[in-house]
Amino acid sequence: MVVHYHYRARSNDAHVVPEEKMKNKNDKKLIYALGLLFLLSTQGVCAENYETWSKQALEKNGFECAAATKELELYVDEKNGVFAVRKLDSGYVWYSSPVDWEHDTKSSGFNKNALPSLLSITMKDDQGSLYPANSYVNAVKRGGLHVEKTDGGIKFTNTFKREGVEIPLYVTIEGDTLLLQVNYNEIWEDEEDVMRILDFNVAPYFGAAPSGETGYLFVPDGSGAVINFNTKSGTPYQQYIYGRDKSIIPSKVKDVTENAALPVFGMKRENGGFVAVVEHSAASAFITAEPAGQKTGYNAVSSSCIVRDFDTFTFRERTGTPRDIRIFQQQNLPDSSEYFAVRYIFLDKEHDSYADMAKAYRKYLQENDAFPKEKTLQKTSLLLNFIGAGIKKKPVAGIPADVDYPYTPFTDVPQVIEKLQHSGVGSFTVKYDGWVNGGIFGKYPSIPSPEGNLGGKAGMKNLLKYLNGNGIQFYAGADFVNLYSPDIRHIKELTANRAINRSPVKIPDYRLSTFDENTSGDAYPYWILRAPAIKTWYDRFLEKFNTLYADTGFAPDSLGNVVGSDFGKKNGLTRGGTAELFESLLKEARDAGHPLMLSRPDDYALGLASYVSDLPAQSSRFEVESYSVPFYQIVLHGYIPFANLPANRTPDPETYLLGLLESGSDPSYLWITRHPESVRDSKLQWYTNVYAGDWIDEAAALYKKIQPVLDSVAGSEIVSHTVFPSGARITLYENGVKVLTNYSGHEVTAEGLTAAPYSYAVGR
Amino acid sequence: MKNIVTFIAAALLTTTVSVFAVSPERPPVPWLSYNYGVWDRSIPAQPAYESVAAVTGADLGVGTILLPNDLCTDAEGNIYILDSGNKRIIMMDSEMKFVREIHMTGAPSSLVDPHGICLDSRGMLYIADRGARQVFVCNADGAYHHSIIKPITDLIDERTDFLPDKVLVDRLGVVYVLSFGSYAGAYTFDSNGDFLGFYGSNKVKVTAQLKSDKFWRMLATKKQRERMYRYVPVEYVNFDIDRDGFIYTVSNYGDNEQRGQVRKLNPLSQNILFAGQKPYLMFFGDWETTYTNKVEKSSLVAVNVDDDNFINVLDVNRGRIFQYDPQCNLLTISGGPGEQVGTFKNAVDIVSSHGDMYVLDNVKGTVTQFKPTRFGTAVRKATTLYEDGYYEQALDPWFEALKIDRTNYLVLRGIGRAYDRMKQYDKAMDYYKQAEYHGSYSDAFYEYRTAFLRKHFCLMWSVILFIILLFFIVPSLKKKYGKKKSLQHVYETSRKYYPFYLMLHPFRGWEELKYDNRGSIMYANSIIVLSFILSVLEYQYTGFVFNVNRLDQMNIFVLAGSTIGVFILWCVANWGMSTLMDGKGTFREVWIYTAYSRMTAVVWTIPVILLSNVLTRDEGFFINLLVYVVDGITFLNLLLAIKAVHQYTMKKTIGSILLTVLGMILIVIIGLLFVSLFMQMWSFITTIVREVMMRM
Repeated sequence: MVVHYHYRARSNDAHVVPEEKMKNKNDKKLIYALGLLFLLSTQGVCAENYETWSKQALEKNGFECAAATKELELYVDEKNGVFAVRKLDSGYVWYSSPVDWEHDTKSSGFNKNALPSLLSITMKDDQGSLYPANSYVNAVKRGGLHVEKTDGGIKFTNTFKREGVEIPLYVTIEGDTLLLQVNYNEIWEDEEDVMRILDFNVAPYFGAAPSGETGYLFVPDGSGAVINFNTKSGTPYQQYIYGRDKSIIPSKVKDVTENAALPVFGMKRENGGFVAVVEHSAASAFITAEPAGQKTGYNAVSSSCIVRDFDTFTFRERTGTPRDIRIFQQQNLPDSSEYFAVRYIFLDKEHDSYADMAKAYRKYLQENDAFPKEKTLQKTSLLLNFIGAGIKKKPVAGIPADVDYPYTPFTDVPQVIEKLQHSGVGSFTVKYDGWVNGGIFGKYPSIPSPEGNLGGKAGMKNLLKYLNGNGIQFYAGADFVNLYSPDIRHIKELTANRAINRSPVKIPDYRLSTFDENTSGDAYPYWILRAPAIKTWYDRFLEKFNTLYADTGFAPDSLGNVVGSDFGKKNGLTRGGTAELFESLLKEARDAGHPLMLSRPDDYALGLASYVSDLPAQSSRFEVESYSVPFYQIVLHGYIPFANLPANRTPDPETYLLGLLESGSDPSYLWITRHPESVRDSKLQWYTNVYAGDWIDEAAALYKKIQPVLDSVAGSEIVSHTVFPSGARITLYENGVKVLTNYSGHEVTAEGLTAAPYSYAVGR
Repeated sequence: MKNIVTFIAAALLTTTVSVFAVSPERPPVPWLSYNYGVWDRSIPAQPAYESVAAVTGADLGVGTILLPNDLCTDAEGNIYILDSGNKRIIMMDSEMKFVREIHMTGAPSSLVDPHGICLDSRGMLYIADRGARQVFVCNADGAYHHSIIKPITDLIDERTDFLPDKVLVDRLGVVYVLSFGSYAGAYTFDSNGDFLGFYGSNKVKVTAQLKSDKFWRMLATKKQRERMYRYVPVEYVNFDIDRDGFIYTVSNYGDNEQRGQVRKLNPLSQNILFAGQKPYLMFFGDWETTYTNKVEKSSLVAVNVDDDNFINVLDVNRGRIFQYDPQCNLLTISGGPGEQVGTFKNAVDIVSSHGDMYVLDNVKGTVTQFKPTRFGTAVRKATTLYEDGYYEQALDPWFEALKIDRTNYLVLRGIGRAYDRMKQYDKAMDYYKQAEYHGSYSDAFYEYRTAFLRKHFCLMWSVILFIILLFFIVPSLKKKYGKKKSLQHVYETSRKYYPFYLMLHPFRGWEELKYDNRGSIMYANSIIVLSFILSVLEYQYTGFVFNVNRLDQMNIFVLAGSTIGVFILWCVANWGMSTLMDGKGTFREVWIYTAYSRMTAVVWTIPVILLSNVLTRDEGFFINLLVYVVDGITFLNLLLAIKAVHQYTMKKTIGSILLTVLGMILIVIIGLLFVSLFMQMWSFITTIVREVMMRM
């Protein structure tokens, strides 16, 4: 950044006498000294103020106004490939890269050159080695930047000369948002060069905050997480949106992490903030965030798009040593109609917390008809998720065979409900998985015929009659995406997704102790089906389901979130395409009159659900994250009723209750009513604590305790959510109700409320 | 550049565990929560501990903690972190709030490379410094008091380095110092600093390698002997002391993984930590291993004993904490590798305070606190009561734990034992069965059976009397009403009853079979098929007391192979051998004779199965006896059959049997060779196919 220091031309006083000359000389020295001082001071002053520069100041410093809307102005520095967005109401300016990046002392070399870059890409050569490149060094500095004005914005064409790649980036302002877009078919790769592009990071340091500032980064990990600026713990955050592509199968699985279901990220700075949504190709995107001090002296969060994915393939050589080879996805860019778009929504200084980000995101979804616009009228209910039948190997006349165990016969459900009603529970929602012939994780659901062991067609009918009679909403769950037991009608070689190495995508069973693939006889692998195959079978199922069980709630969970690409050469489908197809399938069911319940759906399915279950109560707890926040729940509350993960899946009942109150979630339980000891050595071996008899009393007590509080805030938005260092959290609802939840072992007082250890307080 | 590559590589490895779409059953903690089940495989388990927080130096307000090497606690439960990189000690309370920072002052030399700290009962601080080759003793504020240096004594070679690594002080003020590289055990010093001797060296494990080396050593020259490996005991890497003053050591055996890595030493340096009965030692750490370029297994670096004498063992390879009860039962496994709170990059030490565990990560510079979950608290309470013998009082906490993990075999066993004490034997048996506890099941069954028989005393005796009467009545009835001659004749000559006749008249029957040719292929085959079916039934229906098979994983091919397969193999080998030794039997005859000789075994399998369901373990020898007798008779029959069919002398018969066995082995070896060849060809073809598919 160059400070233009204006100085007036000196008057002609060359003919001064020597003595006066001497005096002038001293004077000159003084003037120079003062001038130097002034220069140095203005450096500091100017640098701090660049975030509040007026139009004139921006233009004085090399920026040119390229577009304007009622709320925003867009400026471009064509020489350096930098753009700035100025908010007209606050006068605050957001830069695509930090203005004094050159003075950053915490980074050097490649990391430092990423600071002024608009694009940070990874390329591969023909040997499969990976090479990163920054647009500032490899394009701008080598004369490869071409800037042209478009309608409403700018187009930056970055030509990476040595790598033989050209990527145009569109920067447009629409209303009060900024849109960054890259079209696949405009990416040019030199045919003669061997380098190919793998992924690109758009505006890696947009709005990056220097280490002197206070604020935080928001990332969509699990329920949502906050990374405080300048935090010293952990390593930079990176997470794939919707989880890693399931068709890329790792050889070892060591981690237990939550997914990023919503493609949002945000930043809160001292003078304002933003929330960004990956609008298109979210399924190929990942989000990175770093606090200052880990890579550079700036706190930044941004999104990246994977153009070509790759998998590692292990060959065993003759000597027995394994050799890993990378195989890459084939991607014909000029013929692709895909594009990557991320939209930044700017937030004012007083309204830039993550709760405000949630509200802005919700508004964005509503404007795009992807989220209900009316508030929900539903009151608090106890969500009971039953598992019907499951397979287990049992010796039949001496020979082990797969037997369908009826874990929850249909007749048991009314009994459980009645017991709970006697104990004071007033309102229920019931979800039933594994009711189709074959049970859960069993045969593919081809037709909606209820499992005989559970009571068959008649049993199901009676159950529905009972629930309808008591006004209890029922959802029937089924899994259409995963093939657990291939049979003659569902042949995995023909119908499963293809991995990059052309074999059917088989998700292995991983051993818990050593993390590698379990190849023994009691492993439970399964396959992911191709989207068109899923559509065929789903339509067939839905047709019969519409006739037999019209208007019954439907819960095809996996259509809401399991998304893997099909890398097959013929009729392959990207993750994004799969997501679109799943969305249409869900719409079909909803339009046929079935209310939908989805389990932690990704954003594309969110608006179609009448009830959302299994929301994570926290994030993956990466060490770089400062704390978890219930962002997902804040987006939903008041509009779509939801429940967090079931109570019997959390380690502590107290934490669970506090989590419900903090996020306004319904309580939920996952139950079976019979044979709890039989889950061992079967696919249900994870469900060791789901026996209903153990939990009924606790469930009733929990419901009675929280129902008054939750009912008082039903249909109300969450307007603010604060996390205190003492371990207390305050959730403020639209109607003025304030809930203080205390997760610590000491009494806490905040905002006029006091709560005992591991307890809560409610006020107004 | 490296960053991005590692990013992508790391990102590829990071994925969720949830495999099924319905209500995700991820464990509620950020690591893979598992335990070893009844079949000694890893199975999902409920977490007994959850990670509360991980504090860095920045969180405590003291700046980055650089390469910390050790933790220790004091009597109040405060935690001391040895910040080796910054040469200081940071003290925090059990809630991980900063208390104060301690620097060593007034010492003649400063800290160089400290690896161990501990506190004694007076509050004096001991710092073992490998680089300075001494143990610094200071008071609680860091003011230097004295040093412990290498003792000058005849017991120690002059050339041996004294490199203090870890230090411990017991109630009497005796200081134990582990010197890096010393295999003689810990150096012990009294409270005055005088050297007392060595303590607790490991024994050299006798392996086959060692024995063979010993043999060669006897033959080697002196020069050769000097250059051979010396077998010295493995040094132990860390230790801890419990409330009663016993010292627990943990050793790392490297590639020769053996049992007993953790020992509890009495004052005579003898190990008194056994899993159940002496001399059975527990294998600590992960039982399952995997191979990449080398074996990947647990590497134990620290041990900690808490106030209830539960033993926590730290595995640095995968960042896991294994917790065992005082009887060495593996209670729970917590932690793992990763970047999350509760996972580790390089976990080096563990301490416990007020029921919580604290783990130090040397690379991340953090201390992570683990608190027991509801499940963990219940299991601990129940286990403590159970170990002290209060089986019935343990029932309530066991049920609380059962609610959360219905498949945990320790919980099931505990409940079984409680019912056993409460004399509710049927319930006890049920739980023991679920926990696969055959021994205890047998004892409970004994009681149950006694009670049952007592109840039905009259019925039992009437049944016995009836059976005895039958033995007397039936023959007399036969005498009265049977057409003796013809019945006897039918019995002796018909094909149908011939196998039974053979059973009762072996010496005569075989020879007659040869002359009268009364064998039948059909009956032979049905006997063999029956033997197969009965072997299946035996696998499944042998009484639980004796049955250690996994009922849901019966391999039908193995059973078929061991009955039908062996039979066919024998026939082929025997016939083949007979052609070489002038045997007179045809293949058909060999087939029939061998099948008929199995008759005894087949018939007696059913009573064996029935008996196994009503006997206890102590009475098991009856069944063994019966089985031996039956085997003996079967062998006798086989001998006579071979003699008869080939018309050999007795000596030749025995010889031919040996040769047949040899022949069987030969056939199997050749068969395996063919199979191996075929497998190699198959894998060659599949590799080519895979490669072709990928290039398409």
